[in-house]
Amino acid sequence: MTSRLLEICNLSIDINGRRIVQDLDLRIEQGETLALVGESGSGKSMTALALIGLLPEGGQCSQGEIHLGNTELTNSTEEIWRKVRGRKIGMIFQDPSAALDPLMTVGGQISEALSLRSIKGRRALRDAARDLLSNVGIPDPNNRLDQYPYELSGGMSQRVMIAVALAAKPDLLIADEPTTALDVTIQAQILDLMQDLQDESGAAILLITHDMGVVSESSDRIAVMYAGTVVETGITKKVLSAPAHPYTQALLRSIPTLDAKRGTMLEVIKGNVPEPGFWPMGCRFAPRCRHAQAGCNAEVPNLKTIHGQHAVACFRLGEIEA
Amino acid sequence: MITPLLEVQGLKVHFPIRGALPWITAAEVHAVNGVDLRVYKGETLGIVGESGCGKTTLGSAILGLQSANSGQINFDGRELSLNAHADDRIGMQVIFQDPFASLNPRRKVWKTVGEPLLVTGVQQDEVRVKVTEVFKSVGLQTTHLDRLPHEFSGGQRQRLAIARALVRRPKLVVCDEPVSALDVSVQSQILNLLNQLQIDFDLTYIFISHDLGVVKNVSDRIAVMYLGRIVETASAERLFEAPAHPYTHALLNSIPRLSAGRRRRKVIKGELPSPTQMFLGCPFQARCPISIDICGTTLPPIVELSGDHSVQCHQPHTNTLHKAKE
Repeated sequence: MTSRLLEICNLSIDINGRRIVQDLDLRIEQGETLALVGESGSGKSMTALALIGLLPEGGQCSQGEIHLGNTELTNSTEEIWRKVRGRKIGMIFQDPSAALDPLMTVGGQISEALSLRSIKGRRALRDAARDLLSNVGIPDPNNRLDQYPYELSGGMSQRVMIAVALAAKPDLLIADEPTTALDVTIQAQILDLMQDLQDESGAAILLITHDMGVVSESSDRIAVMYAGTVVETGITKKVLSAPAHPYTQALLRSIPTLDAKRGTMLEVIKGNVPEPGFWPMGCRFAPRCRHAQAGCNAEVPNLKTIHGQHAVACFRLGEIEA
Repeated sequence: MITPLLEVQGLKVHFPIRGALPWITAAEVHAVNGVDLRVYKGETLGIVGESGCGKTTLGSAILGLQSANSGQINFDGRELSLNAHADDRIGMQVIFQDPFASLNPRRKVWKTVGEPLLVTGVQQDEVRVKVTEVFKSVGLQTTHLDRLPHEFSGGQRQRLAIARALVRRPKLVVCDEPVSALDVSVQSQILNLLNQLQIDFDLTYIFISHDLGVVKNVSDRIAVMYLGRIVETASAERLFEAPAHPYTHALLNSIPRLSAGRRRRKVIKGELPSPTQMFLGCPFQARCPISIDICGTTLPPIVELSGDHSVQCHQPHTNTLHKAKE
């Protein structure tokens, strides 16, 4: 049995009085990859930012708890956060060109992260940084250390950011859309790299993405978010092959696949993703759901276990077919 | 032999890079470097490739939004000028990627949609009638004619952009990443709409995208671009079943698939080289897993395989596979 690394209980996040995430429950085991999936505005990125205490101005966790091992994080002081960020939880952002410091050399940025691991001395830091760069597959690491981010391509910058995130050997790596800004052939390289590094270090990964293909190929478990709440969660393979929530079902059918014929009509989910904080009453997917009934907008459905780890938040569970 | 609606031959678009002194050209970006393509009436030609391969520049040059250096473009029986903003692109329209940037935020949407008619001197009343018609065809409410773009969602804005492209009843529409900026659940609405409109309005599409799943859904034929060249063209079915170019192979292998389960991909090494670099041989040679000596010295010829399938490679994969079987 694997042991629990991170547990989020009943978490709600407000930004300037608007509720962005509501009653979220999530857990991450050691060494696993959990994919957090959702469309824009579903609250997946805000959840990630809450985990490292980087919510934007005016944002706060208004309810619930985040447990990292024995530490409770939601009301931590900046002092505690500094011990968590980098050392316990590393983060990879979507856009590497925006996340790296443009005025600092690659070596400098990695060394800064390395110093969290109490490596001292310029020589030792440089050696460790060079090793990290070659670990993430950057050719000619010695010269790269002295380069600035603008001298690197998108794929290379993303590798550097992974090196920075892994420098202090965190237990959990949060990857927020790590390959969305990259081309497919480079995306494949980065996904493979993350998998290799995970095999080596045993770190858990929280992979945030909207690409179901990436989820299928790179995660153990999945949590599907819609309008600030998790609507379905379970083992990735099982959820993708037998989705039980109408949103997951419709989402999977709306993606054009490579196996389908030209002109195949794709499933359409009517309407639009509701804006954060302006959610409909009751089940938030009800207005767009083709299985919705009168009772669906009375109250918010809770996650119910179907079997094993597969849980779904839907009132009509069991009545509707996949 | 059917004559194509659009035929492009030897098209080149080069951008100068200024040197230390502004009147000196330090290098040239070969964005489109000798492209031949044909698009037949009523079909959709998908153009796929990674960023920087020149697919958008190719589209712009066809549309006359970008001057080309050399080559020939024939459209609907006429030879078109290679200069930007030549007044001869009648019958062509475009749909851009970002519906937030391509609509004037201060104009009522009926005027934006009707613009292609207004500029040719059609009376306002008549334009409004035509815009109302086209609103219905793309699934927009006719009561929204007087709204401003910010009152529409992303999917609706893309419908507005499509309406603008259709209002003059074009023959050819160039769609440049029309669904990349949209959420998945909205993306499918727009793809279905584009497929439906093609039938209703008898349209021919050039569909530019980096997403192979999307391209497969709309295209009859697909052209794969790499570093300013079309390296492979085939019918959509054939391209996915029997890709002949090693780059197409790699591209298809890299796409994360829903049905695959946890797996490792067979990835190609390295990244797209800089398009300022001049190549003696094949531009893909540095990353190619099957390259041989000749690839570094001679540009491969375009080989015609069976069934409207052409590939620019010294040793097209299907051949090597067949040889291996024998």
